[in-house]
Amino acid sequence: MSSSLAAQVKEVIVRELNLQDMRPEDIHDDVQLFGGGLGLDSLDALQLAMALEEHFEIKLPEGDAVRPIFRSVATIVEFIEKTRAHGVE
Amino acid sequence: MRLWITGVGMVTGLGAGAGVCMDRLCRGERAFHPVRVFDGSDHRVDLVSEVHDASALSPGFVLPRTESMAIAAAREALAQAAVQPARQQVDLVFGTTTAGTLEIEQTLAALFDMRPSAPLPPELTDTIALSAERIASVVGPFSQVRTVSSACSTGAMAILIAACWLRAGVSTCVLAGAADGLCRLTLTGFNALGSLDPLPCRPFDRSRNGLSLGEGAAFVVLERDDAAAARGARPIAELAGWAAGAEAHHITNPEPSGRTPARLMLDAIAMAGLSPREIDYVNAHGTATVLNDTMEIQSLRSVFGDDLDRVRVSSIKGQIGHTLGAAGSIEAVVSALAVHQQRIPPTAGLESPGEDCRAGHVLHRAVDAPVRAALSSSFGFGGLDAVLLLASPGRAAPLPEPAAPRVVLLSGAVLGPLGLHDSLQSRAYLQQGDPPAIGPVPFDDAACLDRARARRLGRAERMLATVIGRALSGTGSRALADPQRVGLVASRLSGNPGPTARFLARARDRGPRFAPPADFPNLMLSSIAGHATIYHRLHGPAVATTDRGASGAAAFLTAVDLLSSGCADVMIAGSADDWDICGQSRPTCSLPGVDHDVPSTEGAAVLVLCRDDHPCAAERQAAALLFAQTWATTDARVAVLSRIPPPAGLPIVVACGTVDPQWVPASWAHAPIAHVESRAGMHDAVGATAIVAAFGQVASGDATTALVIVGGAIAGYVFVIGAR
Repeated sequence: MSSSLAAQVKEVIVRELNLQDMRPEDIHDDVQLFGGGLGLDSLDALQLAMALEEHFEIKLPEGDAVRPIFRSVATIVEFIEKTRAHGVE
Repeated sequence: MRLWITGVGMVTGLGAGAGVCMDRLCRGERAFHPVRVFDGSDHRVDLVSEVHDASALSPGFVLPRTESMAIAAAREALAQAAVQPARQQVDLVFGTTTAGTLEIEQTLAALFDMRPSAPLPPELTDTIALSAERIASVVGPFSQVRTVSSACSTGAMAILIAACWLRAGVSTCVLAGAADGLCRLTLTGFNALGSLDPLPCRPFDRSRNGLSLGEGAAFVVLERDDAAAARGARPIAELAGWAAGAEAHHITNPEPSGRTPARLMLDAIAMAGLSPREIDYVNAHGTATVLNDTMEIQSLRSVFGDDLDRVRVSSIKGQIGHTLGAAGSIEAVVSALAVHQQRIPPTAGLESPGEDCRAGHVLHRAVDAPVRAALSSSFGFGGLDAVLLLASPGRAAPLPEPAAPRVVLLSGAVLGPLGLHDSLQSRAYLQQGDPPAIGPVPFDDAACLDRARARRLGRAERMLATVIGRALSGTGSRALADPQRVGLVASRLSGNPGPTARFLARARDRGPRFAPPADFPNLMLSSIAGHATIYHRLHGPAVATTDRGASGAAAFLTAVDLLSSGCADVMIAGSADDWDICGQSRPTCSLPGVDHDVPSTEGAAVLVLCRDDHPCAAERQAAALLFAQTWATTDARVAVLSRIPPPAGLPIVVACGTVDPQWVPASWAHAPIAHVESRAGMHDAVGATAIVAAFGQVASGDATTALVIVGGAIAGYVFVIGAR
């Protein structure tokens, strides 16, 4: 997994979701993003999807299909890498 | 006393005229097609229900679409009631969330990132406040005018505030309703939230997949029964119960248990002296989103239990879409007509109710059935909920005659150029001193708020949450003992121009797909109230209001109205305004009575008030509100000024906004006058700052009575605060 991609994803999370008392490096690659310690909810998921699509020029699946991708930073990075490897946008 | 609805008016995608709309609703007709009012083809979903009836959209009309529809519906209601505002005293409560947004949004987007070199016109900065003024100028005159906004419960809240005025004896006849026109902002915003169904929406259906947007307007004429009967009017239905409250849960998602709507339905039923067994129809909020409909049926089940199979339930949003701010008033009219005509419109689009949505649904076509009483539920973003109960005339218990209770001020707080202060310290705003600097004020939000819980709040919302926290710390322990009875009225600059321009510019430049979903709910005027109730966990009635140049005073008086009519035990009232494109465009202004240019600044101020029979009133040495009135016309101003009680002991006059020195009554002429802007600067929360400072002056003993006069662009407000 690309550590620079992971760092970028964490930066997007902190910036877009206004996690002001958190630094990107505080987010562990495998920590559960939603319904867990970060206190993120469905509105955050929408905001994050929009921001990731813009920042990484990807298209995320809609609805429940995005859930496994949004499990952690690691799964988001995995999706971005896979998308890029397939040349799909 | 009973409250009669003597006239109704309605404009929807199904036509202009309440009778036409009701007939077509009862036939199960639906009015959806791709949006035509503007080009929405770049949106994922562009299906809407649009108003096309020319009689509601006069050709060459110079007024915004929302206002044209409002005027058509208002005229219809007044004509049916045979009420002529020029001939008798009528008041207006108007609700909206979009107002003239359609007409300004492209200009607003173009303004983003610009530094305007001349003051922005009110059409761009204050579109919501301006709407009521223009409607009043066409349909009025109205002695008092109030604008309310509580997202998707706005229309119900407008009628509820009108009921409070009648119940408290402030009015005898009120035109109340709401209107919302379609615009790019709402289509883009609800697309960003993923809330829109690409097909016409299907409330309560197992395949439901989101809402459909609509537009429209509806008004009722609401009167005391004795006054209406005396002029020969007949009731269409009676408004026999109402309740409002906040979920204090989330800015977009409903609280899943539905306990707040259930509590409000039971409160409204109890107020009407009825039992749930006497409710025959529920006009549901029924948006067709997965979360709303599940929650709503759950709340209905907790009110009606097994009897829910008997109660007929329907949502008209499958026919005319979700008309947002207008929905509550349109649905109140439909509920009143259901009671009057003894027929219940169906939920079009509903074929097979979801497992979690079982109830006595009406499918396909209307049913003719006795309707003794009907509930109309409305739930808004931020968890701002309202319920109205319409009953067959004479069926419900009469309301007690008005007996205006004394209102007591408990505490207050101000954030402004001088810092964060309680009410005693805020007296500094009435003392001589240097004018403030132009621009933002020092505000360390991290020191005042829980940053994790405040992360969705914009700067104005943070300022408001901060002063509420400061004010509540000074109220004593009993004020918050029952959070269900603690409500909030909040206000801010109604157009919210800066953040709205940013959102629209982004959607324009990057495409609607990249409109930030989390920003959208914050663009609604009422988000300031929603966020504050969530942050401070307040569950009483919550609503936003606004008035050009007098928003803080409008918020305070609305809170007084809710308290006096028994809707809450404790109210928090105030406003916040952050330094933004509006202040930048007009760095200074001049005001009568202030001998220097008034700099544009920012600030927030709130008061905590209760009825004087509430236990927390005994806990604190505070001040009493002796007089609170407003005007919206010159004649009404003369009448209000003539009623101001004389001062006692050591008086002070606090002026805010455009106040003619001649307005100060002769009995107060010897009192010193302080202009709050000379120290606070100009922003939309100065009216609330003036009231807090005047309260501090009386509570400290520096004055025995304080007369506060707030002069807005059209309306004015007068308060007299005295020692208890």
